[in-house]
Amino acid sequence: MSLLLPLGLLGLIGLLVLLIIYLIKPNYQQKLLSSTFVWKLSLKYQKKRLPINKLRNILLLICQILIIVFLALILTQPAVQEERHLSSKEKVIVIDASASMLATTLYDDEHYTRFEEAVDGAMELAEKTFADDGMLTVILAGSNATIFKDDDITDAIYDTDKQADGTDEGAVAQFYRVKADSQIAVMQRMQELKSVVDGNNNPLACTYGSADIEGAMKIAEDITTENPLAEVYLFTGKKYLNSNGVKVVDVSRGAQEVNVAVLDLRAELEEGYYTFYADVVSYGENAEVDINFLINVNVFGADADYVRPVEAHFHRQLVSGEVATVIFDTNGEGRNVNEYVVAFSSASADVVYAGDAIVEDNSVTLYGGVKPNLKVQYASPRPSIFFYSALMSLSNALRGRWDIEIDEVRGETAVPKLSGYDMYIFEHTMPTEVPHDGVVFLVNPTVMPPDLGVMLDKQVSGVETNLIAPDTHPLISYMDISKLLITSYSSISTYPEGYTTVMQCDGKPVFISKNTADEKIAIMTFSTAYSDIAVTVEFPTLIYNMFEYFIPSTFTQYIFDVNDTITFKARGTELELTIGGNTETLKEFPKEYLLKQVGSYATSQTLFGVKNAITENFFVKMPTQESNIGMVIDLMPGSVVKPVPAMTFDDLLVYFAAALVALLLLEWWLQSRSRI
Amino acid sequence: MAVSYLNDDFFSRLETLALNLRADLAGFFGGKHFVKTYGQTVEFADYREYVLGDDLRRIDWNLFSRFEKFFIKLFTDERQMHIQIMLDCSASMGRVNPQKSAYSVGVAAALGFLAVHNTDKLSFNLIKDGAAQNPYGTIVGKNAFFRAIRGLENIEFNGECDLASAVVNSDVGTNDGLTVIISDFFTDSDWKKAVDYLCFKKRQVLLVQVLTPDEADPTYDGRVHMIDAEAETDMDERNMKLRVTRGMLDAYARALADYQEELKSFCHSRGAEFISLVTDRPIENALFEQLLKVGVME
Repeated sequence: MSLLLPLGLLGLIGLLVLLIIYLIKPNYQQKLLSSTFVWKLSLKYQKKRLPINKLRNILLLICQILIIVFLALILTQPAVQEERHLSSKEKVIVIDASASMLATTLYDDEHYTRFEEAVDGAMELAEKTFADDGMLTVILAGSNATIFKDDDITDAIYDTDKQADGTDEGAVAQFYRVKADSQIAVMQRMQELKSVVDGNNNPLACTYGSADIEGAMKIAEDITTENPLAEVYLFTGKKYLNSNGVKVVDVSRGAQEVNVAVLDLRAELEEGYYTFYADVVSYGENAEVDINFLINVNVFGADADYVRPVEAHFHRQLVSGEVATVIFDTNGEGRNVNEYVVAFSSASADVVYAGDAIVEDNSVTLYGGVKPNLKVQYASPRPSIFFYSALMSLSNALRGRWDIEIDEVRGETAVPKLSGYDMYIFEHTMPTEVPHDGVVFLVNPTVMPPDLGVMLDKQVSGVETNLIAPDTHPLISYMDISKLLITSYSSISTYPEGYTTVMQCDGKPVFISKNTADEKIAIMTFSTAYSDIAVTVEFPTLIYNMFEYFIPSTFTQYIFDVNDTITFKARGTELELTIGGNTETLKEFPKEYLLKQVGSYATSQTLFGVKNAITENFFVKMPTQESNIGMVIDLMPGSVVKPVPAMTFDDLLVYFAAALVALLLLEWWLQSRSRI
Repeated sequence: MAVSYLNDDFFSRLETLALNLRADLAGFFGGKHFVKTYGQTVEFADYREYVLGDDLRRIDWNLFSRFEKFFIKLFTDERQMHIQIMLDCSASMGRVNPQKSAYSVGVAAALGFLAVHNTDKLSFNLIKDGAAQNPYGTIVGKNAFFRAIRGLENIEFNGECDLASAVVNSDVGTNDGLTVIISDFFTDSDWKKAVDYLCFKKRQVLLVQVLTPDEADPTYDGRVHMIDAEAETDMDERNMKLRVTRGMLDAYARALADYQEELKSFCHSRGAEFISLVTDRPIENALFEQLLKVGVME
């Protein structure tokens, strides 16, 4: 027997306490008797018949001492050491379902992927494990590591809610450390892994992104924690210099596999003209490849703008593993085509090779070659220099996103336009009707346009009043409203439903806004001349916020990797997302979206009643590292190797507790029968 | 003495009873006890042949006519006895349990009443330490008896008791009546010597042991520091510490029974009588049962 917590022997101090109690407590009750004569006589009889009397006298004390000793022993956590007997028949199978596992080779006149090879190997191992009466866990390492379960195969693969952290009982219950009684179900589901394919005839269970090997190893680690002798197998095409205790089963086919890929496509402006750079590479073997560029050039004609496709073809000898940059120059003397490209709606680069293992990484399309033009009209009888400065600085700051064109309409007699602009700013003098094809910003209105339904109170002047923001609002992000003062304003008495109060003065709204697909209006009922807002940094911030709030960018970049998350913003209430002929409608914004497929994505928005008013594109490609089918990784993540303790401890607590209860009962019995 | 058994009702129930003393006692002239000697009463006892010196007036002439011999009539004799009641007045008799002393006084008074009721002489000897005091003198008649009883109710029970010394050193008379010793006999003194001395003096002897219920059957247990009522200090050797268990109580019962048996058998061997009374029983029942049983009362 071992004491796991010897410090618990301090509980024996209780013996001292017991002895002290015995010493200080009155041992004998005093009793006055007529005579002790007979008691003295009785001693002779007692001595003769009860020789163990003294032992009985201390029986209670012995019992109490034993109780304290057992209590102290329980505190020390007594246990019996035994040799640990663990099964080594348990196997954990991790199948790499990354994009590199889609590498295909021709085998017996049939295309055969690494993934299918891995599943076949896993099934073989599973059969052997079940035959040996061992336990088996199958983990599919796709974009998330998932414990394989007995369910519809597509749910098993793409059910992102059921993460592989072992917390989801539905996922864990079926094939988590299962034995031979689940063999048929396991084998059927594994067979389905290969047979369910996508449009490119690739196994649907395989992702186009990277595999969550780290998550898979965490699950495996949980199992090896339980059973340190369990063996973890990883079926993958990647090489690991240090497999960290995991048995890596290589399913690659060496020299038979060659993968060429376009890793990246860039467009750079040089002297006002675009030059395109495509990074191409070959993995496995040297390869002679053709690289084709197709540029849809935007031509801005005198009568109308149009798109003209421009092509270029290159032939390159690629050295295995070395990235080659193919340049499509449209500028200078060495240009490849007789065309100046100042804008393009799309540019794509394809690489062509006959024995290519993965086709999904052979093409990249680049969008964003044409900046949208944003027209702003600033109409004011007394234009403010602060307004104009703020607009100009904003135009400069956002020139990467838009070409902002500012038209100023000044003077009392000038008539502002009511259509054809993306943003209208009316200061002091209001239009007779509100434009319906852009954002409208009304500043210091004297009379409100009647079609708005907004009514003003009488003007208040001469008193310095602080502005107050009743609630947070995107229009006043990064602004400190409370320090702004105004001395003249007309508060808004009534306004229709749909408006939100942005700023208040004396509890009454002085800045309201409305942002719907058909109406985008902001009304500020005080002049910049009677406020210190214009001379602070808050004013350009306000103008910037208006652009961000009313005219947000749908997305922030044009090329993503598979398994990246994109955040969509929309000016309208709906956004249609199209990929590979499938269209999905998104309605709540900002909306986060996980990109799973390779290819071009198209977005379309309905704005101010015009369908497809804004159409944009972006491209999703395979992660660069997944194209490298011969990738060598230094270290396997996780730590599945657990120390195998030679000994195990069988807890004796229950037995000691039982003995303690027995002693307590005995002590109670002795106390109750002290005359024994 | 808070507890008292002595009242009119108690004594009235004793009026139909009398002490039954041995007939070979000599006693004193007068009294109501028949003795085996012949006397001058009117109750015929026997005949015997005339011898020189007999009173001629006692010759039965009818028998002379029939047998031509002289016979004289003999008549029974009645004597007055001297009843001595020796009461143990040590601390063991009353210090702890006043009921024990009251019970003892009640027994003494009952026997004393029977004596004076039958015109016997009575004396109460109070034994303290090694001496027997007779504060009320020889009592004859009920008036003197009740005066003595009032005194008995106020005596104090303390000190020790040496029965042998007290009896031997007191004037017990010779062949003239009954000596009653009332005590618990829980003493180291030689009570056998006292009995032997009284027998030597040809007195009828009755030992009355009075016990409390707690002495007859102890109810306490556990670790007990027993302090003897007669002990003068805590260090007195009569005090003792004992763990009273069921076994000890059994041993006590056996020791008490053996001791009582020893008292009884010794008394029988000397022609004396022994009775043991427990104070939880009514005193009349105890007296009537026990004394009638041993033949001291009729």
